[in-house]
Amino acid sequence: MHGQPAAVAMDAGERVRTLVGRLGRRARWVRVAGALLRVVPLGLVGMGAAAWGDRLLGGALPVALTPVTAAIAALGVVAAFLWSTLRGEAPLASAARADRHYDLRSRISNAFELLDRSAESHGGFAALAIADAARASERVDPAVVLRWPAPDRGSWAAVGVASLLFGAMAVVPRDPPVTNQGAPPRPTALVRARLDPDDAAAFQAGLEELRTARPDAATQALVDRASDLVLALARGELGDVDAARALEALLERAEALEGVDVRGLERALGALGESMNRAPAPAVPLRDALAARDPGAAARALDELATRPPTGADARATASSLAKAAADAARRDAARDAAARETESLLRKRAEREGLSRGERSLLEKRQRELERLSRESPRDAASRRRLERLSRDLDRGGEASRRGNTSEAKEAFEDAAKALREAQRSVEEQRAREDLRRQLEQLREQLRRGQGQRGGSNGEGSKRDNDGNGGGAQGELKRFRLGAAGQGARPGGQGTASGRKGAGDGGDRLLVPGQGGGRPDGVLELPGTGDGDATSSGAGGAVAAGDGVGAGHEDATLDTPTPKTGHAVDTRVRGQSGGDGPTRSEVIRTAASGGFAQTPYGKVYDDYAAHAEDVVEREKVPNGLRYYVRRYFQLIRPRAPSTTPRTTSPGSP
Amino acid sequence: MTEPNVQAQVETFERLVARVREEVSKRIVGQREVVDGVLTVLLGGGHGLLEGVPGLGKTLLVRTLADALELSFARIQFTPDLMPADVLGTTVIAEGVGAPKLEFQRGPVFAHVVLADEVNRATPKTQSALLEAMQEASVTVSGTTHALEEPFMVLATQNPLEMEGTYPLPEAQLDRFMLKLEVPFPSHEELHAILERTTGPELAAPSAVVTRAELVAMRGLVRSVPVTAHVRDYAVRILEATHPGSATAPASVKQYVRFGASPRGAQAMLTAAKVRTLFGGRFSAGIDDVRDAVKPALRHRLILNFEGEADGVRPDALLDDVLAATREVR
Repeated sequence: MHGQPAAVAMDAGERVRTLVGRLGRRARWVRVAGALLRVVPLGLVGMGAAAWGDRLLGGALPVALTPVTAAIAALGVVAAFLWSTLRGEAPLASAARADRHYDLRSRISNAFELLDRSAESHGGFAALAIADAARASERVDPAVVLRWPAPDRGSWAAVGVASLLFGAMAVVPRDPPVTNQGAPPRPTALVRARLDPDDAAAFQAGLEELRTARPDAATQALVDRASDLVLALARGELGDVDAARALEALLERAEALEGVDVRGLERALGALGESMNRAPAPAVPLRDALAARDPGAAARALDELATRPPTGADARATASSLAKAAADAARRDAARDAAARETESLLRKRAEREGLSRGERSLLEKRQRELERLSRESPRDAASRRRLERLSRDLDRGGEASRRGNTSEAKEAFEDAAKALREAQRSVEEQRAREDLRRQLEQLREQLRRGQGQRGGSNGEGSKRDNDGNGGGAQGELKRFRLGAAGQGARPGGQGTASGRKGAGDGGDRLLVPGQGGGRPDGVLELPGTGDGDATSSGAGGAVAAGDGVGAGHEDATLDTPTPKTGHAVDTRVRGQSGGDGPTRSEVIRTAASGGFAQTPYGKVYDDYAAHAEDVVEREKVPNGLRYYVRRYFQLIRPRAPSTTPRTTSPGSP
Repeated sequence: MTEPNVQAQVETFERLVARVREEVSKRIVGQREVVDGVLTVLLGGGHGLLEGVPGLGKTLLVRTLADALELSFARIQFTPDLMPADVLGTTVIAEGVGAPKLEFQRGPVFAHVVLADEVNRATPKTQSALLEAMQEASVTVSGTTHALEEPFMVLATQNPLEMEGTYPLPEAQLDRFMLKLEVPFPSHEELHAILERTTGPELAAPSAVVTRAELVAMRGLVRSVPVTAHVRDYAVRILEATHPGSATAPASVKQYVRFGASPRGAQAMLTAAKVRTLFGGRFSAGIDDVRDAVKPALRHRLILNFEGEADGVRPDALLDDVLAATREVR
């Protein structure tokens, strides 16, 4: 050390500077590596989690998670790199790191600091310290001082988690892609649809009756499905939405079933019978059966004619009568066709000239009315018309053969006609079954809809009882539907209900409903009324309406301005009492005896009344809410077969 | 100073220290740290406080050191009835030729090395008599200031166990001790050697190996050792961390310390670091030199609060926390 030249000291200083520079660069890259070791595993975990989230959510999010997370992870790596690179490490810190590692007791860090000082500040001490540090720096290796970092436990754990995520993704199969086309799926109903056990029993009875009618296979299948649906509703196994969907599907299929025009066919048969007004004695049963629109009875009458064809004068009279009937039918067809052609021609003229003369307009109106009448009287479907034409021809052919004394041909012709009638009868029965099924399904839908409305009202907020009698029956129904759909309504208003019950109670002595006459407490027929707010007056109306005969009109007032809110009716529940003021069984029998016991079976009476009511309801302007009451009434008084009641299958039944 | 001069002085420094150590080791077994500490105090121009139980050779160490350094030595046994005049000296009537006159009779403090044995047994009044001597290297008696001859060093001892009838040193006086050295109990092997030496034939007295002039030169060399800014900053941050109000103070300091070390503590640290730098034949004080000096320089300067006293917290433990909480390079 003695006599060390200044050049040597300068060289020592450069060596110290070089060493500190190498240490600083090394420290920077080691810092970068350490940052990457922390960020990259976390980024992998994030990507794995995002990929799983993307898979599990099935692209439900507006953005794809995987690219977003990958971008975030990449940005994190870049940010860590930049942060480490830009931040760096102070050179003095790098020198101190080397001092500490080699136990140099601050030789290098002191020398690095003394390099910037003037040589005079510490005399010979500074130069000696720098030279000493230069000697010591010969054994300093930056790679030893600053080793590359190794992943810590956290990094290894993150790598393990990421491996599990990606590995599981390779093992677990991917779900098929979900395409969100069309309307979004409706949420599953949270409210169970329930059908009252009594209603379920009524529906099941109706469906069982349809089964016994042996409809076609398609109708039979629909009946079975409807029965299953009613059973499920009675058990509360379906939600509101599911029940509505199933019911709509059944209705669509029922609507799609093609059938004959029953009423048109029956009218045509009646017209045939009426045309045979001068039929001889052998053809009277046939005439009456046709006039009664009973194809079965007509077929049996034809079988009788085929067995014993008329002879002599009867044969001529029969032939004449049958020929007249056939001619009338042909004439009706021709008139209908002519009216149709003429109407079409007039309409085309009007379309071309944009105007008709007064005579032509009068003729067009006349022809349109005639066409409407003829179309109403004749079946609308082609199959029924062909069947009627064939029947007319067979009847004409049988009569002519009888007149000629050709017994075998007459027999064959009558048998063909009987066959055609039986086919018609079968078609009518099947069509009636279909219509009955449709009707029952619509009633079921209406029933469910009302049940939902009532639940919505009871579950909603602000449930109140509309006791002030605002609105008439129809108005009350509309209000109920609206509130029910909104889930905040109240139970229906009471005035209409009260009046209806009053009517039913007064008329009870003529309506043999189980439990009412017998006095069983449960046998109360509770029907919502349709009055206009006055319980007393509506009750009287109910009594009047309970008389014989069925009305054919509708109440226009229900479509007009609602009744003012002046009523003060309240809900009332009338229960039957054994031995009370209600009619006793002896009174019922005595009343019936005064007018004579009924000879017609209840089922026949029911069918007539129900068909008529249905016809009126369909034809007239009757609000849907009132149609429901009519159909519900007839549904409840439907004759039931004792053995087919499904009460035992209903979970709510005792 | 030129580089060759410095190099030569440092080498001389090392050689002389080695010779002193060698002479001391003829009487003192082991206690290398304590010997180095006393040498540090001596070469750093300060005063030392040795604390240890009786019989560990504290007095012998100081006396041997004085013998090896060819310095005058005075031993004062501090007792409760010791008076300041007994330490500093007093004015007496001298009767001789001519009329009687007042003459200052020097006390034992007028020596190069003064051993204040069991200093905590004297009253605070007597203890404070050393204040001026320790700080100003002078003594004022009856309005007359008497300078003490360089080098002057007070080495006081105290027994940490016998606290009955003692007077703990006031903070002002404690602060004037550069280092407080704790004398540890000898190890098993050292005990064997002690017994062998002290129960056998009497050994030759140590010879003086360092002259007073050499000692003064060595003290001057110590003050020339450079301390870089980051090392000085480290010492300052250490000192700051001993104050409970400092943001860098560890939790234990904040909990148990009432007052931290005074600036004299930092001076003591750096001076001791410089001495240790020369002990190692190096030319600039480093972080490790400061670290080595932290405990002896600061342990008697920490004033514990009531909680610290009640919990029996040792200042060395607090200083360990301070060292752990202070980064070497900022």
